[in-house]
Amino acid sequence: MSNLTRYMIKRVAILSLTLVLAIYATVVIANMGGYVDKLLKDQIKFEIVQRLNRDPKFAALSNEEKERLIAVQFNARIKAAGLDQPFPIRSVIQLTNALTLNLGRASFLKSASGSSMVSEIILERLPRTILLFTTGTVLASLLGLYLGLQQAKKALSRFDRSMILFSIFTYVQPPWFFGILFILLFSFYLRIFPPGGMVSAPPPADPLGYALDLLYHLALPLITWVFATFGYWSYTTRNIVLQTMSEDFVTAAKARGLPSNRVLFRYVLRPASPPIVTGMVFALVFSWTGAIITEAVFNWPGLGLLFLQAIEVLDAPVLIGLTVVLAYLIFLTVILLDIIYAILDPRIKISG
Amino acid sequence: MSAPPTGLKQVFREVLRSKTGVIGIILLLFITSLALLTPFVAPFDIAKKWNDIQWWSDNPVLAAPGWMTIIMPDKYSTTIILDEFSSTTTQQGDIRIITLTGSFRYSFRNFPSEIKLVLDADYEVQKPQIRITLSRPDGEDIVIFQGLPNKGENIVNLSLDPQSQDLIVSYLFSNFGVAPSAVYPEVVLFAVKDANMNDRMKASVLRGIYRLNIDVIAFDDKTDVKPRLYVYGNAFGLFGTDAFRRDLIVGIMWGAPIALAFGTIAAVVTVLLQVIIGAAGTWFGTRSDELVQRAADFFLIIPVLPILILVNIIYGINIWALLGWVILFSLVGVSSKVARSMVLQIREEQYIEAAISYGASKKRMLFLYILPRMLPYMFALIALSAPIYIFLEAALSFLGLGDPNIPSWGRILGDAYGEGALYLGYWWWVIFPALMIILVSLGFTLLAYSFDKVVNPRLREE
Repeated sequence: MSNLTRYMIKRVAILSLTLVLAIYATVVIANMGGYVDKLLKDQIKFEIVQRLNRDPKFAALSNEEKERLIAVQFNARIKAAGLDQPFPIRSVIQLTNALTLNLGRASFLKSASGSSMVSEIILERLPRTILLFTTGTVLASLLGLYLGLQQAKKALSRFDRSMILFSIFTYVQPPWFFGILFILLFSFYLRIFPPGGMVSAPPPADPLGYALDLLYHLALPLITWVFATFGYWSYTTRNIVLQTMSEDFVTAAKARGLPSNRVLFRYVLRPASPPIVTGMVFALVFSWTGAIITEAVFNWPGLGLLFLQAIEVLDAPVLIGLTVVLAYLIFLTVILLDIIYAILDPRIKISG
Repeated sequence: MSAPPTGLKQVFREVLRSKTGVIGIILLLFITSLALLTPFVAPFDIAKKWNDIQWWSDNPVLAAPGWMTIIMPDKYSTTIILDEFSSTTTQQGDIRIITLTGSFRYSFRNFPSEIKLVLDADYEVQKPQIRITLSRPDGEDIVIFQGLPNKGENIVNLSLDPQSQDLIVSYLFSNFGVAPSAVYPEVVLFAVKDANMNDRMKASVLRGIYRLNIDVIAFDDKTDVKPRLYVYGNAFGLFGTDAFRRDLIVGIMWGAPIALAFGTIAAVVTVLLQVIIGAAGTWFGTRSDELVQRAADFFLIIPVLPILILVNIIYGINIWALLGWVILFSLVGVSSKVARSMVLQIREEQYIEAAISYGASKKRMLFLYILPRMLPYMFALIALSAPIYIFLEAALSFLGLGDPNIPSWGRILGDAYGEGALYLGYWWWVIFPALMIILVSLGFTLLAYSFDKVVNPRLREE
């Protein structure tokens, strides 16, 4: 087994444990005061009554017998679901359910296909969130990396200093905040972009028209996201590149008369890339939660808007499901970047 | 490039010497003085009344800032309140006829947004009969109200009240022979008399002195009527009003102490905790270091905002409980990483070796020799995290999950968004709270930048 694989296995093991802990914390917090238990019991009762009501034999029974039948079935289901167990055991059951994405039934919300299973509702929304924020993050990182390099080349110039201020400023302002101002400016006053949504209603029928319509709606949230996040990338890149540039081996490479592009890519960017990746971890993790309100502002029908809709109707199962899914997404992001980090950093290959 | 200053006093002096530092401090001083002024300008019970829609009913709805009447006098007007009347009484047998007359000048170039009549009536048994006429500068008399008021305050919104609308329709019908299905009393009453006088776009404003005549037929001695007329404009106060007629200056001013207190307390506590935990972890050996690193992974993966939303939905928390939860979820974080790398550097320095050689305890070294060295960095980190927590509160309030008892900037923005201010162009409702958040975060950001410049030599301008 190579050092790289060993390192990765160790990291994945540690992070998986962390994920379990994080989701367990969610379960415990959600269930303080028995809130989730009550929810689950109500759901079970609802399902039993619904099923029995469809049975003509049930309708013929007297009220007392009906009550008794419901109680018997209810108790059996409670026992089967482990809801009669003490909290420590119950919390473990809930944890396994959450980890296996067995997220239960939504109280009110439904997916577009009509399902009220939380996992299906979330799965339907996930690709839209990924479309917007992955595109946005890729664009922002490329722009930021390029500008950061230019800044490092001309460190402390007027351009560099104003970029630093811009970066710190946009790092602090969340994207949704720019979203509000951009909608007012570009959508209401300049009428360039639609104020929100993903496609027009009704959406164009032909695939090309649909794609163009999607692009038209994607533009403003995408611009907002890139505008709000590229500064952070350029600032991180600039600082790390500048730090690497002052290393002796870079000076030596320059002294040997190597072409400056070669110095930049081989001697500066290569060793600078692992810490840049570390910076990415924070940016991306931050972006998953930043996405929630940005989507709500732009009416973008992804996970974030689902959050808002679940808040509006107080749909606790959906909220808990979303929290669990977000923990998973952050977990996967960190793992992915860990892999990239391990490939980029030569020290890991040697020492493990 | 000289070594960065380490003494706190030195750092502060350098921060005050930099342009960004001075601007940052000025901005923060401005917001702080605003926060300190707030209780005097808008006492807390006004802020508490933020949720009491009745309290704001005398204000115009969705009015732009008052100073818009100076910038665009053709489009904006302020509210006229007529509450001074001269009265004459004549006795006719058992009944008394009271005539109240008041006048006001209407010189705006646009129509009022709404007209409201308040009749404060009192009587013994039989309700008095009231008939109210508006005498216009062109000599037209239009009856705007006819009826029997109840005891106490009678509020008649002429723009919405069907009976008043009927009176206007009959006026239009008797003059032009048409009875429009939708009638706008606030336009008709103040328009030059012609066939277009019910059309806000086509009618022109009749400017001059208007007189309000209130004829009261009283049936007993106790009978008394105190009228008030509100001719609402579309501009009000310094920051305008929202869809619930609330004076935005109250919410915006109260947002300042709330944002400052929340942001600063959260930033100071979390940075201190994170730095101490991060530094202690590294300082006390590999095992504790490993523990802190794993804890950092945990706090990285746990989705804080969703959990805060969840907690809020399930338990409904106020701002102080929110503060507690925020601190709980920020025990280990970015500042711990900074502290860790600094301890790794500092522990190689000679004065630490010296401390070890004369047998100082590890705890003493941490708290007296190492943590004080990090103070300038901590200030930078605090200044950088304060706006992040301000925005966190704003984000939750925006979603309608903030403390329901207090107005905050995020909540105002959330209300504005919810009422469609972005699509209907109520810019003042969005711009001013947003501007306040930008000013505060800009102040902290500039301060953080100037601290960073002093303590981080790669940024120094030399």
